[in-house]
Amino acid sequence: MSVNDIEIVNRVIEGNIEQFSLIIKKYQNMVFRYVYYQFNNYDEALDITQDIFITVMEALKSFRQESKFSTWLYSIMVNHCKNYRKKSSKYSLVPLKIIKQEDEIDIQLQDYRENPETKVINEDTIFIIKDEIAKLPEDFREILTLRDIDGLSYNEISDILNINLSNVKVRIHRGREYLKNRLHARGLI
Amino acid sequence: MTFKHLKFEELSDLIDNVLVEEEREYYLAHLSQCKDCKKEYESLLKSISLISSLNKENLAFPDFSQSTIIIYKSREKKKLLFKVIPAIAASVIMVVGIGFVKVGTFNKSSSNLSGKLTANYDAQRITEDIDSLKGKIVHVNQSYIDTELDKGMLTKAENLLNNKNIKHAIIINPAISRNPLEKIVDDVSSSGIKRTIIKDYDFIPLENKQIRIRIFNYSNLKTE
Ligand SMILES: [Zn+2]
Repeated sequence: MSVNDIEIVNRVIEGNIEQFSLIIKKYQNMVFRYVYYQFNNYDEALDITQDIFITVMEALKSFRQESKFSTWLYSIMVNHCKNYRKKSSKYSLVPLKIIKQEDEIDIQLQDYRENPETKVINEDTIFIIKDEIAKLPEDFREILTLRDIDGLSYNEISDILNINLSNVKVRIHRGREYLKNRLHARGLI
Repeated sequence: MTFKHLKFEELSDLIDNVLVEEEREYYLAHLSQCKDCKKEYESLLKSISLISSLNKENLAFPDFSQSTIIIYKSREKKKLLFKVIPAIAASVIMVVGIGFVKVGTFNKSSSNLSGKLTANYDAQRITEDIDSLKGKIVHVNQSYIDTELDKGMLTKAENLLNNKNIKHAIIINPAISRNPLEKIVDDVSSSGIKRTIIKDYDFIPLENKQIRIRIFNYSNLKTE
């Protein structure tokens, strides 16, 4: 028996907090993937995805149920990434080091990418595509991820980005044209 | 009838099938006759299929459900003072606090850090332990929990963590006693001590009597 999102959300609001794990398990793949392609950085994607789910959980009571739950969640996701990008441009990262007496050792945080299961069809190609996506203007990257990677419909995208359908179309056209030219310049097309 | 090539947006709409039937038929008829447009159409199709192929990229990541609920609960309880620090800001703080770092291992004579860190822990239990030590959780992510404790609680905390075989690092912060407004920190790296100037950051000072402990989590790997 499948339980719909709204039912689960209501249970969580009523205090059955553990039920939220069902929501997370359902959406974490989509959310992580989206975030990952926005930043092209695995570690940042982990942290941002975590923050998004906490934000969603804390905002749950303000979910009006006028839209689909997924649409609401995705719009939080999109905005969170936008805000993060604005904030993070100020910082620069310095790697964490650790000392044990005289010795110095880098803390080896587990890198999930090293999982042998993580295979890609053609690594060079994927690398170039990700690189070009990361370099897209933000509006294009957002919409092409939603449309061409996640396969969302024009209507859903319109709700998530809060722009009208004709703007969705225009943005998809321009984004695709931009990316196509870039991929052409990189010799993939 | 004038022979007009298809525009880029028309090709894009055709691929997404967001056209009325008449347009669609007209465009398809044009494509069957015009090599130039057909070529354009195919290269756009290729471009879209390249980006779409990322959907099949196998991204492994840890399960977020447990950590989210733990963080949520802890915040709700308000017993613990949670500060949300964006990951990147947390890294800056770690650098500030890096003047001296001591590693707590399972037993003190062992310095085997290179061994596989396998300490499993129940994050919920740890937040409760930290709470009992009147500490606060500063940051939680998949790999570790950063906590801040009163220095007076250090021995107690170390005993607790060692007894439970919980992997952790104790981070003492001499850099903090330096005026943080100088925005200079010493970064210890394999090439020696490197002075780093932090240009612009939201400095969140660690209170003088506080120490920071990073508790590591190497929870199970989840693949999609
Ligand atoms: Zn033509």
